[in-house]
Amino acid sequence: MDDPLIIAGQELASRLILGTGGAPSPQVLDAAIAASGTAMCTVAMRRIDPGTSGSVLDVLTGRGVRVLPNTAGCRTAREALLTAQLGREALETDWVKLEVVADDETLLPDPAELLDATERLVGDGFTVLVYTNDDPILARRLQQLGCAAVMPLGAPIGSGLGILNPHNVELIVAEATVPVVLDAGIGTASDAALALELGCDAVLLASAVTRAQDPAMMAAAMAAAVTAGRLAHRAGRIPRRVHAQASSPTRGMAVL
Amino acid sequence: MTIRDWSLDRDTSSVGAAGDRITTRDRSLDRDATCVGAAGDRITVTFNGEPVDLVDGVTLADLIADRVPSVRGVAAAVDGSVVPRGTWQQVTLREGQRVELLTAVQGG
Repeated sequence: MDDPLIIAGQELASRLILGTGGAPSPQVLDAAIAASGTAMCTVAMRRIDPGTSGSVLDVLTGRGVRVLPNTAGCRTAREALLTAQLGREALETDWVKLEVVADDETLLPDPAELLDATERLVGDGFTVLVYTNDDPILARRLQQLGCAAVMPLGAPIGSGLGILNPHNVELIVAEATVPVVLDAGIGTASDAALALELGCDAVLLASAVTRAQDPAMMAAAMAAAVTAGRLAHRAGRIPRRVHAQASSPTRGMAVL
Repeated sequence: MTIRDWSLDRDTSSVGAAGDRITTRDRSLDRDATCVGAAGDRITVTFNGEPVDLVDGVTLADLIADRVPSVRGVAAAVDGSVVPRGTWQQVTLREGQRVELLTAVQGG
């Protein structure tokens, strides 16, 4: 079924975007990427450690997946802009996953800094996929500033709590003018399926796979969940009813 | 040009052609580093948070070549501004400058 994910005019062969953080080894990451079928993976930008052998880039280029640098750890728009520019320079891509968090306890996005950063990054020519709160109004404002995808959290990063406010996610989807990617909070496959059922265009997850007991098996589960959720969304679910509705005909019943 | 194994030797190094040797010292390992060489010929910059003693006149390209075996997938900033790869050779480092050299790592 031809139903590609398109972000900023670019077609991606999978609706599962995989974060690479948390994988215990490059080998485990490689196996998870293969099992996930993902077409794009995130990376973080950090000070180079020449003692480290092997690079996450070797794994990603070996699998032929698109590399999406993030601005993880940034607290201000200024930091995020510089980190994004370094990612662009290092990886030769103008795509960026914008993250501007307020503190280490919640890792929740700082809305004021996020708006400022989005404006600056769009102005500097970036294709901005922005990690945001599950706030429909903030999502609206980010789209007005020109982001290429809006990525509301399901729950705090790494929490595995699933989608805490599905109603808000539906509101974001309902008025979105760019793809909506459910980012953060996914704990297991049913969470990912729900995201797609709610109308999200894709999910971005890391810990749920990389920290699972069997990352490659969970990656395969996520791939199946995303496919199932998307199909269910497109197929159109039945309305919820208060009372039962028999599926067998009531006419023609024998008098017994 | 010799590429060193940093894991074995974080102390001194050389880059460039013979006769054009540039010695860098990690001050965290050698507190007397600033005494090496003639007075006025050396500068100290901060490289990824660590003070580094350099011969005056060293370029950003020299420093990066000295510090990492490959420049693939790396990006540099000096004093909070990105320096495009193509201009590293033109940037002569000055006393007190902050150099950050980043690369991609696993991250969500």
